[in-house]
Amino acid sequence: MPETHSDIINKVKEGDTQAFKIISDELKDKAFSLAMKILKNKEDAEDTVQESFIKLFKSMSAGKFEERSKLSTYFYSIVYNTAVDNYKKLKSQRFSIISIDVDDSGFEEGDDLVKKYYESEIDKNIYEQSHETSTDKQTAENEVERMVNNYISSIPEQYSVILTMFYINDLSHDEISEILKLPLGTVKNRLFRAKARLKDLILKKFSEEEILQYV
Amino acid sequence: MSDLNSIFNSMNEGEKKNFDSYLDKLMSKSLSEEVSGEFTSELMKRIEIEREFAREDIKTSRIARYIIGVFVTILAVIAVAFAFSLKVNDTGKDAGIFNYALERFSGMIESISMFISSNLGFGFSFQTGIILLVIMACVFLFSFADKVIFRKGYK
Repeated sequence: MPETHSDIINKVKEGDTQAFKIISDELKDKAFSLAMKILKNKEDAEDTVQESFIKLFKSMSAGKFEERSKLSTYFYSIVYNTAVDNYKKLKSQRFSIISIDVDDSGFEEGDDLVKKYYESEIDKNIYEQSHETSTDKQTAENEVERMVNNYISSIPEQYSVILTMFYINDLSHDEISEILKLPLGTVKNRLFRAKARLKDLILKKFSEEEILQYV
Repeated sequence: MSDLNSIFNSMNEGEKKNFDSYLDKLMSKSLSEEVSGEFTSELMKRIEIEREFAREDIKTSRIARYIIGVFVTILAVIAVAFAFSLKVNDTGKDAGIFNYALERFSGMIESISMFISSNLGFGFSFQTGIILLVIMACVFLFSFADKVIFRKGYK
């Protein structure tokens, strides 16, 4: 019978580090996906996730985690806060021009979701015109996938963080709202808007019939 | 947004659902990332180090508490002994071991005072010795209290 999180927490409290490995194996990639959306750098994101796991371990060992929320929700809130702290530290250390800003206070809702997408598409289209002429099903599927990847990598992190929390970390709207300290309506609106814009982009390039063939 | 709605309105419910789940699948795939191969081994090493630090902290605070306890007990015993000795001296009765200890301590302070006086040019009395002893005790107590009680609260 697989161990529950409560069993694992009790084992960690008793000093069993191998029990903690089960949790780390379960959550590491999902946490890393979230940290990457904020830090945009593999090494910094891995450091952040490790730091977060150590915070979780200390908290569990000391009995500070009282299981009032799900372990994963508690952990992702640690990851988010640690990533934002590290982002601020790194930003001030590197003096680099970073176009994103994790701080939501200055962010204005708008239809800027596809601006960067179109900018990056111009270069790709030039490349594709000279290399790609096939229109078979596999190529079209790859093209849709590429469009999604390009879209995800070009949207502001105010959207990508929420999308990651929803699709990867399996957090509910309420949990996302609580972790990000944003109104519930804003969270729902950003999720809807991000997905609707992606649909819009895809349907501009492919007909409904074509898309429904891949579904 | 209205164009988008008109496109989706033309799809039937089943198609919308299928298209949505297809997009959800693609988005999940695109959003997900994987840590490097050494991540877990590195993490477990760091966890072991943290555990070692935690064990050392517990050991240090236990020793510190023990030392404070012993020192406070000694101070209390000395204070009681002095008080008892002074009270016995008042009544003129023989104070036995307490009076003997007091005389020895007083004698030790005097000899140290004479030694310092002859070598450095200044000396101090029995009262000065007591004051220095109390100051040392305060500094000692504060440094341990700072480590064991106050700093512990910040963690």
